[in-house]
Amino acid sequence: MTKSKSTTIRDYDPTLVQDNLKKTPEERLIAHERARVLAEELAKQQWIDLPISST
Amino acid sequence: MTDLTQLLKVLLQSELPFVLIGGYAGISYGTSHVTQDIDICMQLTPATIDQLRHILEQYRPVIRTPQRLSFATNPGDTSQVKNLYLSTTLGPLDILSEVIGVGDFDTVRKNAKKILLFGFQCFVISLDDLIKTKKTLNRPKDQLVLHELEHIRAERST
Repeated sequence: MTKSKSTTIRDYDPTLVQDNLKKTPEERLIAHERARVLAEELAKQQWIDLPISST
Repeated sequence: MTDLTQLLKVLLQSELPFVLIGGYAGISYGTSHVTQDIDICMQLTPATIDQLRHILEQYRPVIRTPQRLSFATNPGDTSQVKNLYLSTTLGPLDILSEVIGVGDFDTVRKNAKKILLFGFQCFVISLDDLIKTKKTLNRPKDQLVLHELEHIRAERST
């Protein structure tokens, strides 16, 4: 499989926010940190451009 | 490895008066975009900058310029500092003495919401003020988050 970069600036998706609103502020920050670390790792491997969604 | 939640915990543990602003504040409200730094608003005086140096010492803070000067000794004269843009081993930390479109620390703090994070009370910029600053800044990344923030405000008011 060939590695390719993809565009990750996306349109507004209200379902992502709806999911987040079910969490506490602390849970949102923890989920974000997991997503951020993953995004950082993927960016290092040139799979994606930052930023991505935290959900 | 960077760890923004740990960086926030370090700041909260320090009891330094600050308000969480920017993308991280948006995430605490429910936005879904990933941010790569923590932004805070606080009064920047020689005394508070000394406190920051002490708090961040073990995380090897440097000023985020090409020279990457150590924050331990730079800037030498801290009497006129308005903003600090630091890199630490836990991640980037931006410290602003005022929020564009809202005002100085006292104004931001007066309107801020207090929430419990990791066992500490944390002042977070109010949703209205966050929307106000995003509208004022109006960069493409602000416009993306603005849609979400306005959706969240509408949800909260129902």
